[in-house]
Amino acid sequence: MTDTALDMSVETGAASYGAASVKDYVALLKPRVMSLVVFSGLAGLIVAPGHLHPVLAAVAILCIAIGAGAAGAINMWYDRDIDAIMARTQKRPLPQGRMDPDEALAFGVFLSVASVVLMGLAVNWVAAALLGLANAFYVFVYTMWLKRRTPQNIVIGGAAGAFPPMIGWAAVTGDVSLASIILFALIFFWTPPHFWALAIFRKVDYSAAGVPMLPVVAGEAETKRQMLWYTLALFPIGVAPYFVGVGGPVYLAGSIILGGLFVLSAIRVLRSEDHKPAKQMFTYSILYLFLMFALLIGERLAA
Amino acid sequence: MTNQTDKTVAPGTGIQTEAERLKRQRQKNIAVALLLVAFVAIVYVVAIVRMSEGGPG
Repeated sequence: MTDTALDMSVETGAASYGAASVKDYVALLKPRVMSLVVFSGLAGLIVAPGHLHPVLAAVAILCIAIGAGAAGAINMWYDRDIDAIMARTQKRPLPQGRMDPDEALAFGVFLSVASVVLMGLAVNWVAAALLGLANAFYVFVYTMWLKRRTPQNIVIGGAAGAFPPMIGWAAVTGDVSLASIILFALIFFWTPPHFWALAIFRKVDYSAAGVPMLPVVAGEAETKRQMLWYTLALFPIGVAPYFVGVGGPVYLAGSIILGGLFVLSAIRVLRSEDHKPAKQMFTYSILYLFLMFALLIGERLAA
Repeated sequence: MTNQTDKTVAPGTGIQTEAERLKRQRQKNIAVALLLVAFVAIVYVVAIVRMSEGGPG
């Protein structure tokens, strides 16, 4: 390459794609989201009746993590235009121009297919099918279809994030049962108040990017009402694992307290004029889900 | 190729020189190699476990 060629590549920006580091590829997998996905998948795997060899259990969790990360990478590839507009996402590798979009897509597709195939070969094909379905749902239904079209995007799209405990359960039992559907429902009903709390204090961002989140389309008052309804619906679902034998008395007591606090935080958000309670509710929602699954895991391991 | 290591490659992306770009490329190559080794190890261990349990290897 001559100096002239090098200068031209600087002008066109083509050389900037070479700037992607290993850290950028890790960022493409959304590691923070992955941690909650792994934890809920682990919970499903631990509370499921039956036995799975520890090596296969570790491979199942790895597949869930890689599969979720891969779906996140494809999401970042598709959303790179709006990610460049939103303050929360504009530091990502693709909007920053550090990575070739085609490379990001190939990375996501390869890991997604690899995680499903490995899950099928190593664990079982029911878990693999659920993992593939979750990935496809996240990419095609949520990212490509719903996200930019309807304020119900995260309600329906939230199903994708609800699959991990069901996948963990299926890894052990090879089937889908009422208990695993309840664990699915727990995350499904948790997702709207979690994301709408975020959307309330990031409304300007979403509005600028043209993403029709509920606070942007229907206003904050309506969003806050919907958040309260979802936390109320979540309360009995949170308690339900006790009644199907997945959780014990400690879980029952914990789920009542945690669910009650979630409802109270939604009431606080509804009554407030500023965004501080919404920020606090967003933080609490993460803690809520983490503690609910921690209680399930802890009680099962202690038994 | 002359004075390549002194050239600015991509302003605003954290890459200052061709040497830096090559360094990142090398790190990526090492990461891919390690991942391939890990993948082979996983497949090997899974095969052993599945065969010891009487399932398909």
